[in-house]
Amino acid sequence: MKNISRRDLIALFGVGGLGSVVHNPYNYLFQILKNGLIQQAHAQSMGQSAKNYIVFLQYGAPPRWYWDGFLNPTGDASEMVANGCVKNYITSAQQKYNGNRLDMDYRQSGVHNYQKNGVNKQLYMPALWDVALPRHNGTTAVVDAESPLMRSLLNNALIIRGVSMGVDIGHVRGPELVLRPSPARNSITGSVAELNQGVIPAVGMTGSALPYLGYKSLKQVSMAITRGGTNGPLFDLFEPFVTTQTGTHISTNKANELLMESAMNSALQEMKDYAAARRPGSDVLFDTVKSSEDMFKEASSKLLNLPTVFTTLKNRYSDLIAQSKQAVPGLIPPPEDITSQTDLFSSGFAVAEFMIINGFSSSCTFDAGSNMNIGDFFDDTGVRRSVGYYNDEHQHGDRQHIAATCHFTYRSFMACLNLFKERIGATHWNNTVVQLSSEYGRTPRNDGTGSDHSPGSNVFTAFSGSIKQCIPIGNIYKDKAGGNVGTFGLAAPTSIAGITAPVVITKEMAVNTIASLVGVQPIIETATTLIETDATNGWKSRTEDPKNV
Amino acid sequence: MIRTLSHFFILFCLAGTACKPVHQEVIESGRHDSLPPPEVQSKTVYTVLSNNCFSCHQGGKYGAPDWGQINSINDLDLFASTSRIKKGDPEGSNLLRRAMHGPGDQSMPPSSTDFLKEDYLILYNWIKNLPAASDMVDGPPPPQVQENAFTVVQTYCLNCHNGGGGPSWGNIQNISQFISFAYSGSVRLKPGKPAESTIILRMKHGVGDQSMPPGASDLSQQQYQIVFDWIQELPEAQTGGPTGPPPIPTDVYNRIARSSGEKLRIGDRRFVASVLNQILGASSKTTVDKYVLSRTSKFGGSCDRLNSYTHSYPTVQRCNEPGLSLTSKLIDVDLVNIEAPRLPDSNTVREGLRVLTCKQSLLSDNTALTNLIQQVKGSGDTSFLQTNPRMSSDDVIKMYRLFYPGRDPKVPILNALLAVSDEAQTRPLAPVGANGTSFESWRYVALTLCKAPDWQME
Repeated sequence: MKNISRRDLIALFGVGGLGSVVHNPYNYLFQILKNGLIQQAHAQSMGQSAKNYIVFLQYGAPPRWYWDGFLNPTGDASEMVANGCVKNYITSAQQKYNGNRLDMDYRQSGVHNYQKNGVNKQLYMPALWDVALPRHNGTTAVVDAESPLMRSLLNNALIIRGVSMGVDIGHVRGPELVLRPSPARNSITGSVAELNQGVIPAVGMTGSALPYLGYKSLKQVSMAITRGGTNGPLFDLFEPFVTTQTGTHISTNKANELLMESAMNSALQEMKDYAAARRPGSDVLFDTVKSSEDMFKEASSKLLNLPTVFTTLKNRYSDLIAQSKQAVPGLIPPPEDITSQTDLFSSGFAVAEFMIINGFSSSCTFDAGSNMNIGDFFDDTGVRRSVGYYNDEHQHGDRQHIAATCHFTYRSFMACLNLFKERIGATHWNNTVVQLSSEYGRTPRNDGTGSDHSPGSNVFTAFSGSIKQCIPIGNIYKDKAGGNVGTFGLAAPTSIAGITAPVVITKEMAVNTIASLVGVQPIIETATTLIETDATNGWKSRTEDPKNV
Repeated sequence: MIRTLSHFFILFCLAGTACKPVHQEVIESGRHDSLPPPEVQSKTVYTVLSNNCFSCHQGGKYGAPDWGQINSINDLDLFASTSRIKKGDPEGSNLLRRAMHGPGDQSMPPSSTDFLKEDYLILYNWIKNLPAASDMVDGPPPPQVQENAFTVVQTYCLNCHNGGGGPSWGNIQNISQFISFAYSGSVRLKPGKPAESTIILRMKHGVGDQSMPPGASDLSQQQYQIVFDWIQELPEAQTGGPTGPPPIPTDVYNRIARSSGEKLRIGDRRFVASVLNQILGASSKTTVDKYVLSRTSKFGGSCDRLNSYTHSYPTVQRCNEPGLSLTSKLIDVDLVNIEAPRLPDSNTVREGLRVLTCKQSLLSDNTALTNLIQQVKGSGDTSFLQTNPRMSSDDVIKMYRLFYPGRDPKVPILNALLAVSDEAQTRPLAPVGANGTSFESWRYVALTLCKAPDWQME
């Protein structure tokens, strides 16, 4: 069997005689679908594949103390002190406003049981993990008795807390470090794109702000698409394949049906030819050909209705986010429509779902933004305060504010993740890694007026179906809180297999760990990875269990 | 690694020499110069390269540079002439610098598979014993070299190529005319670049009827080397000579066609836009701006992504445009693809956008096509189409050159394009020009060239 290169493949696609020149508007559409299937089969037969890698990059995001910071994983009561750095705007001792108690502190609320090397372990969780996630009951988004708890996703989670980012290079370059810790190396997103050779190498979706996406690859590019626009981001991406030579959108009508059928048959025939040609991937493709006619029809109908398809996909997630907001105690929803602000997660998950299910791309980076206004609340003194996260929370030092934004942000994300997991199905979920990153952890300001960058206390959290038991990693200091009582997750030395003395977990180690999970080469060869494969649980940590020191 | 090693031993023993591996001798003696017979050495070198390098460098997998087809030990000579190897100077050769000393991710082979010291020494000895290339870069080759090369060419090539049935190289009667031919810009002979010269490729690599000279009369290795060396030693630009390469339309073309080894920068939207604008003319500018120039990240070529992703064409901002604030300069840099390649590579969306540009320009009306015809025919008068709608070979070649500056179509491609021209006449004549003029041959050949995938692969 001749070993052909990607270049040969592309050249092969071009061989179509005059048939490929005839201006049947559907030709190109089906050619793209066909090319995707052949490329996938080719990559699969060459033994190259990485998992789908979906990463949301937040910048200036809320602190993660309330969510995946796991400030007190061992549940030691003596360490359960309130973070004195966070000023309490509430003057009364009851910490309440509008009659509702808002005490979603980072205190632990329950225990998560998991196994490592066959030994039962316990992880004490921040209270947020016990909230119910909004779900769809068939018609609307609700929080009800059947809603899963957030903790149900813990067994699919890898959580590396106390990661030292080494440097604080600001927002513009900061998020890059999560994907690409050294300017000389490929990013994880780039590595995945090159290995998997999807029809679309990589997708980077920007929000309203700057494209802070740390993409780098040797040969591929990342397609930047924008979240807004009349027709939505999917149309932005697939525009060349669904536009006629006169600049209009291809539309399905009787007159076009014959053309469509002809183009589809032509593409199917080329696939059959390839499958019969004993090229790499032919065997794999042979199985695909049988079902590809249906797939072509389905995928093409999706492509032909991209704006509608996207809106439908996105609204499913948006509904959950709106429901998450309703559930924040004491919050007064803003009068204005918050759709554009909740786009941040919902658009991303919608695009990721489309890409993965249809096999168009396996590397997606989404700007998860930094500017979200979710409503107001009244504090005890009767002052109305707006809730949202802005600019590292520089101006918001009160506990209520932090609790509300964390609750809303991370509950929304987890509700979307849960839906995403259901939508793509078990097979894709096992083959997908979803990561929510902020460029830094947050350190509270000493005067309690807000928070700021904390390069020494970042958290890397990724979810995947390939993880079967929770993997918590990383030690933190319990008493280095800038002269205040408490902790905010500053990285402390951790024992790692193969390294003599405990060391602080660096961004290089954390990024390599994500690379292991995704299935690409280590991004930084000189740094270790923190996980290894495990026959029972998919993965397990190579470190000691997390503790505060 | 075990597997690699055992392959090495097996091949070595099969070669019929003592089965004590040479690398042991090398290591034991501490010397680099104890060598097996040359043919064994070539085989060994080929095996080492094959085991360590070719899985990525043949066909350019995993983003590795493609070293070209090295199918047997016979191809090692050509490989030895590339920039990766400095003959006689192993330490100065990129190949070995990467193999042993490369820092970080430049070390080869990448990551876990280290280079065996034995393998390294084999390559080291091979390069060290390659006859050092002469330092003739600035001046012309010595007269004797020229004479020898001309004798070989006269004997084996000019019988046919001086009007004797093969494609004519012009009338070459003496060395001086032969040198003029070398600087005529022909793909057959690229001064200083034997490995890119068709004449060499045909002599060495041609298969079937492309192998030259035709029939059984192959060149000897020595004769081949004479021509090879002569081309190698020709200065790239002729100093003080009467003729340089023919003038190239724009400076963009100039940069591309003349730049050493750089392929068409299809990944650079500015380049693609400038080529398409020139070929398709002013009437297509809006289309080109919309689908090419404003799609920064989808094409590549950085610095105005903020504008491009919102499609605010044709307002395209550049990184260092005067008047931009420092902040703007910093943030306008396309952080996604700032280091993305401007290499020819498949990129479905990029291809799609280019095809769409071609389709909208060439299928919607005849304006762009007329502009194209004008460049090929030297006149925008399309009335000749009424009597002679099919394209001639000459027309096709000229049109091909617009898309592939400095190149001529290979024979099979030319024939395929002519077939398209013929078959297009059987298609419905729409849109029809004045007086029922059929543009179809021209339209479909242009469209084929414009949207062909190898536009970016050439």
